[in-house]
Amino acid sequence: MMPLRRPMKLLACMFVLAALCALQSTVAAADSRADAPKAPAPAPAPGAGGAAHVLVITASDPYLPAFVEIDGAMRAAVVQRHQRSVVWLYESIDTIRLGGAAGQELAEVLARKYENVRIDAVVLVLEPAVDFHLGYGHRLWPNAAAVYHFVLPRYASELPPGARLSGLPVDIDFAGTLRTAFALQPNARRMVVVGGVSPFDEAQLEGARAALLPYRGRVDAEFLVGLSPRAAAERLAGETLDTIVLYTSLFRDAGGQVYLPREALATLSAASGAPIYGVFETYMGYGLAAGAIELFKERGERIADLVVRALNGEFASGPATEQPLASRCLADGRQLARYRLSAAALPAGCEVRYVEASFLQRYWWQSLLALLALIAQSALIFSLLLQRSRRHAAELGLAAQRVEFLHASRLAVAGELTASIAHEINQPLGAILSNADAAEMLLESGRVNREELLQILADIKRDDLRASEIIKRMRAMLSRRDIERCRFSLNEVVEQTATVLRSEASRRGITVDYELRARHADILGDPVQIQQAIINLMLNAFDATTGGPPQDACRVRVETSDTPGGVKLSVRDFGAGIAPANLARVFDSFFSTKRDGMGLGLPITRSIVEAHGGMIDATSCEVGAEFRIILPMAPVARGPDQPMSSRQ
Amino acid sequence: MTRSAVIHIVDDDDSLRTALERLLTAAGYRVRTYASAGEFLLDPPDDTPGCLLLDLRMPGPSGLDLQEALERHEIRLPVVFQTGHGDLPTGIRAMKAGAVDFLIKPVAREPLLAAIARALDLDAERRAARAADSKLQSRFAQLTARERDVLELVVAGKLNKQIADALGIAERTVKARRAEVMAKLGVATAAELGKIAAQLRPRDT
Repeated sequence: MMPLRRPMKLLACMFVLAALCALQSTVAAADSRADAPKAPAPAPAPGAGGAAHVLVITASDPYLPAFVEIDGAMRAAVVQRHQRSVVWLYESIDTIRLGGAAGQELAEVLARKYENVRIDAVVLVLEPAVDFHLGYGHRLWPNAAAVYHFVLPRYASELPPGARLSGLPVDIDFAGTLRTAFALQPNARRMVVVGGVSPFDEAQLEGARAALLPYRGRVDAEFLVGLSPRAAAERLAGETLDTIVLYTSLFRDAGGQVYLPREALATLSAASGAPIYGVFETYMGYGLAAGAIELFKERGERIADLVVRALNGEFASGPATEQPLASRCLADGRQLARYRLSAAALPAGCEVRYVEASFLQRYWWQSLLALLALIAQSALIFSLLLQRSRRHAAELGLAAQRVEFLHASRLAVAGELTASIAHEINQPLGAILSNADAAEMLLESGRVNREELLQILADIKRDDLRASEIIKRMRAMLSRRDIERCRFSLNEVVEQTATVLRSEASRRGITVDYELRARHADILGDPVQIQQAIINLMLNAFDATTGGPPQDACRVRVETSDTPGGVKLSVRDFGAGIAPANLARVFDSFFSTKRDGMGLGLPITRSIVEAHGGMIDATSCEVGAEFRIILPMAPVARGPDQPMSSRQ
Repeated sequence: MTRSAVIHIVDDDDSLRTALERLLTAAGYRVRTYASAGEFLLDPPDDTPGCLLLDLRMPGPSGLDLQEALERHEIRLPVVFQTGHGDLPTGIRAMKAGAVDFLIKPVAREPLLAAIARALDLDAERRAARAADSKLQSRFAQLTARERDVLELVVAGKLNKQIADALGIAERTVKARRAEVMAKLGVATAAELGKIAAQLRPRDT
């Protein structure tokens, strides 16, 4: 605790001292409160005699943006670098806009104003301020060291030898600005210089003129001096990209109207058909395309250095001049874009401000996120589409496979029926051959009976048609075809099936009884498939019958009848029947009790029936077995163009 | 040739039946047609020479069934089978049962007529054999019981003396009865007698 006590006491002492100082000089205290609100009661540093007073005299509008910027940078730097607190005092003699000279009267006012204030340093802005100081300073503030700035180098070099002055002249870089302009507009043939008529304006125009000398002959130069910004803007509106506009400053026009130069620039730029170049940093953002420009913050900091040195009494007698600041190339991205000037043409190291950040630059992470979301979404959509198309392909493949499978199983049935098909076809073929032979023999024998020959020919034709009818029928059953869907009568399909199997039944010595009692036998579906189902059931019944007792049991009964909402087909045999243990498995694939049975007939039948929205069951009877199919009835309304049956 | 022979066609297929009828008629045969085995059996043929042209597969009794039934009905006509689809087991079965031929439809004229001709030849042969056989039988019927005894022993290769001993008669009597037998049966030598006896034997036993 003890080590902390001593600094506390010291701080208290300092406060008392400061209070005494304030009482001694009320004017100074009032000024101090007004100008430095941050430090209402500045504590003097050890070894220093209270707050330092720095008087800033400017020959310009004290709120001129350039001045405000330089001054702000200067004060911030001084506070940082100087031990004592500083009281800033301001005087504006504003001759650069208003003209005239500040003289004796002002000196007297100031003498009275600062009677009780010790000015430690003065900062002189622009030549008129320096002139005033040179004239009256030694009387008004004899102890103050003076820092000047923003004077032309030529003026600085002509300062009188006795003056205790140090400063930073300004090198307004018209030459660099023009180089930049020609770099951007290499084909420019014309130049327009816009400026005002105040002393400052005129000084600038003079600098511009000097910088233009090297371009004489290359470009025609026109000077728009003293025009109001509006009038000048009208003139500039007609210019093209062949023109370089150099804007110096426009504090005052010929009519005596006073302007803020950068606002005048904004008016010009809004109308100008050609890019405008200039030399002051404060013009940036007000329509300046580019320029070789001194940075005001840099200037403020450099002056702050001089002020600190002045306060520390480091100035030698006689004037000292700092090297002016080098200009920087600055450009306005928006103006470059507006006049389609390429930033690539700018001198190396040029700082392009106000580059319109593109949407992606401004919102890069949001954009990235959105892009990622988009990609993820697209990937999802793509994968879903892919999945869908694969499933679709698989479904198509499955359907195609089913068609193939049904076809293959019909071929297998046809294989089983080979004997009866051959028999059936060979009957008419045999008749044709014998008829032809008979006709031949009749002709050979010479006993030609015309009537008989005609009869023979008629018979041959009839048998030929009979044979082709059988082939057609088989082909309809065996052709590889897509599944069709039409309206047809179950009774008709049973009749057609009877024709197909007649010969097979006869071969096996089986009598088939058909009882087609269904009156509403129309169904929707594929007649060939339904026929396949019926053939499977009937062959199954034939197989069962062949193994059974002879003769009277050698029959199979096929029946259709109406059921509520559907048509029933039953195939009944009187063979061996189905063992109860097998009843549940008869529709399973590859289940067969026959020696050479594949076990596919009934499963195929079931799949066909179910594909038609129907159902199938099997019952073992006292003698033999019965298979029943129930198919849904087709809707009653029958369109005029819907055939009863798709088959002839 | 026996063009007056009757060909019996049994086939359920009207068209084929008619065609065959035309062909065989043109070939000079008499033809009778039947639509089924039953129709044939209801109206069996007389003893006219001929043959059967049978469809193997018919509704109801098949061609094979009819072939079997012919035996029972003492119809001895040779059978030619026709079938729309030949399978080996059926063919073998038919041939074993005495079929002359087994033709696969459609049958061309030449093989059909050849088969028919063979069947008719066979029929003629069988008829001749049956005729010879019945002549022998009628001669045999003229033998007395004693002469038959002698014949039996002769055929068995016994000598006259052994026969006499076996029958308890004189050797002379054996010789006389033997001569009588040979005269009645119309043979000149003992060897011929042996041959005829061999033809007769199956029917006796």
